Amino acid sequence: MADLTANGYPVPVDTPMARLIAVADTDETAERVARAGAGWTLGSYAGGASANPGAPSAAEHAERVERYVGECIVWGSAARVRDELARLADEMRLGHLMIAPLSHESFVRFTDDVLPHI
Amino acid sequence: MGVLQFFSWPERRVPIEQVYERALQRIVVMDRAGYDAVWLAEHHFTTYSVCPSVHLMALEAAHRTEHLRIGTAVSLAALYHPLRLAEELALLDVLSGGRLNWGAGRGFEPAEFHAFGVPLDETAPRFREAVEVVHEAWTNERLTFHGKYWDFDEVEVLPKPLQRPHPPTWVAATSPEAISWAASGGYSILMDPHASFREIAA
Repeated sequence: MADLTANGYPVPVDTPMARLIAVADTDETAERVARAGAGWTLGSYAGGASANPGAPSAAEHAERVERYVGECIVWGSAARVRDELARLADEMRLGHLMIAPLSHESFVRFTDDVLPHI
Repeated sequence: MGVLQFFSWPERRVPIEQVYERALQRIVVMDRAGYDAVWLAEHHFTTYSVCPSVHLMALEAAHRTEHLRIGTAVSLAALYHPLRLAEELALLDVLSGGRLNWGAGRGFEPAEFHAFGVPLDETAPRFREAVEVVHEAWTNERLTFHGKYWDFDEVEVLPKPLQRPHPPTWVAATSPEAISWAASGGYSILMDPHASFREIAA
């Protein structure tokens, strides 16, 4: 932001921030969806074999999945996701959120139960 | 509020055309539900997301929707001839009624660069030069550009985008150097979905 200002440009109101999202009927179910999505993402793309040559051990993979679930994914029931997004909006100057649903159900629940409230 | 739409094909369980149709149906729902934009991700050679041409997919998304802005997140600019990129994006902007959000990225997957013949150590400067060429092509009646990788003299790049002076542009940037470069050009930033909450807050 400071660099933009220093170069004579206005600070944008829209900085799209992509977040992986898992929404389900309960927090527990959503966490399972998040964990499965993290496993798929880490195994097939981000941090996958070509990005990090040398396959991680099962224990390393499991640790990375846990970290990813905790640090990169917004997951939970609709109520928990609403609360999490409100927290992120405060902490990160969240302007334009770009959700990446980890399941079709996550997209449907987010659209029906989260979007109308934010 | 936008949606980053992937085209994941886990274990190739269903025909690929079904993956596309389901995603496009979701995009129609986004249009009706009040989302601002769908953002389409370009990937190559992986079932993580099978969408090698975000511009073709974006055109189909635009065809099926009325209000939704159509974003690329991202076009892997270093893999394109920049004039072809400028032309395709401008055509997309015109045919979508001025609904293009252009997100450009360098990419990071070595297999993609290798297959497309882009040396790894050239990906960042090629990406930056491509973004510059695209904007010059959009905003000048005739393009004259002399860079490290591309030289053009008096090329009339058509069509011009519908949105003037050009479609809104974001660049994917995570490193401090890339963010500074983006800021020097006035480009907004797209935040990486794989970045941790802590990294984003920083």
